[in-house]
Amino acid sequence: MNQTSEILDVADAVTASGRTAEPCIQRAAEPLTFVSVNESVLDTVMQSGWRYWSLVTVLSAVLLNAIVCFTLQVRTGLWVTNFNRPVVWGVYEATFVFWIGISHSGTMLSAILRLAQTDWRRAIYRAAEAMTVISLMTAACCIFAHLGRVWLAHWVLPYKNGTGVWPNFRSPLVWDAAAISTYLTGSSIFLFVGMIPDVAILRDRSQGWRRRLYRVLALGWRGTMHQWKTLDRACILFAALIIPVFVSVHSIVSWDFAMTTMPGWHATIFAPYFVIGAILSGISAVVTLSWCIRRGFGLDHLITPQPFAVRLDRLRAELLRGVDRGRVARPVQPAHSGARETVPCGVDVGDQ
Amino acid sequence: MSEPRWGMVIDLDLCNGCQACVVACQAENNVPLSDEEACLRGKELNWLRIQRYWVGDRVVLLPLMCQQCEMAPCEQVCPTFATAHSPSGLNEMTYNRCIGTRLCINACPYKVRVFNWREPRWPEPLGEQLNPDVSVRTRGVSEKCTFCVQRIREAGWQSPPVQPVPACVQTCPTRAIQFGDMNDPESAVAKLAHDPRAYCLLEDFGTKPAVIYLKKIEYEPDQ
Repeated sequence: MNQTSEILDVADAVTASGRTAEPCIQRAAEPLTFVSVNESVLDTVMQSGWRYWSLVTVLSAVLLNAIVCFTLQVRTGLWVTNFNRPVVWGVYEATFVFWIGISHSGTMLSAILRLAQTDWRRAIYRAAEAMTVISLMTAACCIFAHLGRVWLAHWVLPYKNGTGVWPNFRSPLVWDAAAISTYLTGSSIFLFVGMIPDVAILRDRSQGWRRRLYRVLALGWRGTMHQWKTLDRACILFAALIIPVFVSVHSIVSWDFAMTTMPGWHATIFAPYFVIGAILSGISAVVTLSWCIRRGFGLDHLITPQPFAVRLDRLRAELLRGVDRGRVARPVQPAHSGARETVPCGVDVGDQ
Repeated sequence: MSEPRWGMVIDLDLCNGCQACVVACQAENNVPLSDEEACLRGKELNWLRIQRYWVGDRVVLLPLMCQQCEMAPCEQVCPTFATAHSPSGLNEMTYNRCIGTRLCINACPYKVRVFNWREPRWPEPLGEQLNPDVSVRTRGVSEKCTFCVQRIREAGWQSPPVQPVPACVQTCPTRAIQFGDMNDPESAVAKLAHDPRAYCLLEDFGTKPAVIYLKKIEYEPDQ
């Protein structure tokens, strides 16, 4: 508790006197109305300056580079990665686990905090939800990059394919494919359904092809009381449904490792350790993202330090304690199973 | 007649580490040739390797290939059944089903599975001597020792069936490697399996390997 209250104190002090909080105090002098909130949020979508386009250019260059590298890898094989036995997985798998972890914050903020009826999540949860969907897709890219024969990746899905056999349901990779596709579908629906009233505002304000796009996404939203009630019920239902998925996804990702007999991986601590580590890194990512949005779009008056500096830090402190516990338990726990750390799995294959 | 359970017995006391079995395996099973670049990067491909380790100042050599486990950890984790169990206890690879997740390589406690990191290549004229009974594997596929399954199959077609001989067994100059049906109490391997020197690798893992090693006999230096 001490650690938490210290963080609270520090954050309060920053809010009260620090340089960070000053713009908020100035802006807060103007009262927030629905119109002013709408205006400043809509500006982020409708207007794009040179900064935006230069960022798009840089990221496109990164993407182009990735496409060239991936093509090279598919054509020559995984030789280009320089993975080798016994480390046949490498940065792809690590990056995959990282991005799956990042994706956990969106559901955490939206679903659990929605059910807990916390109001401070409002400023950041849409960004966190979008981050969930996008980081899941990034994670999927890592999986595809990691496969030896990526053009046959669909064979892990249960449908009639060229091999004539079903996937092996004992394999953690099949569970993985099921868990991630479920989570991606669920979180996309969660994001799009929650967005309907906002998309409707965009539809009303935009022109041309955007108007047509937003008209489709708004699903005929008119803002009647009945529609609001239905939406609210739907969101609570989705929130309740997605929480078990949220816990199971990273557990299953951890079982990719824990189900093998590799010393150090073969441990039951892996699932809770991965899940709590995922929420921690995910929330850290939300804090980083919120900072970028505040500064990048000048939304200091909407995303106040209160939610993301104070509340999220408090959550992070609690989670960090959980992760620390996992860090201590991880090397100890496999020893209980009688696994010797010296099992000759680490044989130096190169030395012959 | 019951299905055979193919097994191998390797007498470490007879192995002198000449690596003839490694070369024979390479030639029989179309294992891609590891060129200088591959060796420099530590990516040699071989289904059978002579594992070397030191006990004090004395070297111990251990021919290590797929142990054809009864309870194979690699089979359970393959998402596409590219590796599965045959009725005769063989741990079989179906290369065409492999999508290259490499989870089997991670799961294998003996680290005997190899991965085709690139398209296989043979310098001319070695490409002319490929074995037509064994498929050439493409890049991105996991592979391993098959107990020369093509020879086992061919032996079964003979009338009367003859005893199959894998390439390494055929080549071993000291006859350190024996191969046969473990279910047949009269076979040499079944008898050798009851030798007091017999042991399996990582027995406490519970993988029940089909390869049995006979312990090297320690000689006192002054005798």
